Amino acid sequence: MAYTKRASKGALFKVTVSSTLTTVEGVQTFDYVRGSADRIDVTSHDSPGNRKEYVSGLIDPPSFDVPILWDNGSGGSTTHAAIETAYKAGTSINCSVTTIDAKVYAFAALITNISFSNPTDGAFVATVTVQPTGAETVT
Amino acid sequence: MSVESRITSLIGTGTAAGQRVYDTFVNTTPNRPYIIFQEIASTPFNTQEAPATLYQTLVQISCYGDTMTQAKALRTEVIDLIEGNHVEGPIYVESLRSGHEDAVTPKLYRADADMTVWNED
Repeated sequence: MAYTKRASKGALFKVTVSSTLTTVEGVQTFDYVRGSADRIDVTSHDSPGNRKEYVSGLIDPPSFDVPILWDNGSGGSTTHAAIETAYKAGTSINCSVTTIDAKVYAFAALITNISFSNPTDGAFVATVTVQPTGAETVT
Repeated sequence: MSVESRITSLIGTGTAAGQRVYDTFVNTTPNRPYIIFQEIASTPFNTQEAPATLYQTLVQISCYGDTMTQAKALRTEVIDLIEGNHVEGPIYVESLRSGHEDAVTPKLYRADADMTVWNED
């Protein structure tokens, strides 16, 4: 397929429910930040051009926030329930982000925060903080 | 249930307007007092994975009467019937206005309530 410009609506955030990656319902605008690599200075006396030299070190994935129109009530979303379970247990959960160009970024993550927004004139939104840990697989 | 159906159902015939409750317009001049409600704007809450199902809708409810007192009393009845944290979605007052229709004889007074209706479609 040729290079295509796209709107980004349709990106998917998935979490594992009963061993299956499942699309989380109600996800609004979110950023998936893959992480910055450490910058390791390997400058030496013979570095050319009067310029420093570097190699990349470990990539440190930051946490990112996912705002979600939330329903973890009776009969509500199984994905929201899975997120809540991972948060309370402090255990990692397998996740993925599928961008609109059909690339899938899969990783394990800790759910480090869930905060609820209860405006008098707005929607009920949970902002879930996702902290990736370990390897990212891209397909 | 649609916003229009919810409003019609909640108002019912429980006000001084009785059955004279109209959606958007009325073809003939009804007996007073009467109510006309109209959807002004509806904002969808879009999500990534599916079309929007949650909407925040602004509805203007106009209560007409022979006197301002009558029009405002009708508006109060309407608000008392429809405002609340309903299971289908909360309904609450955004603003109130009043006025009269210049070109009508005998004078026609109007008391408006702008109501926010949260609804899942």
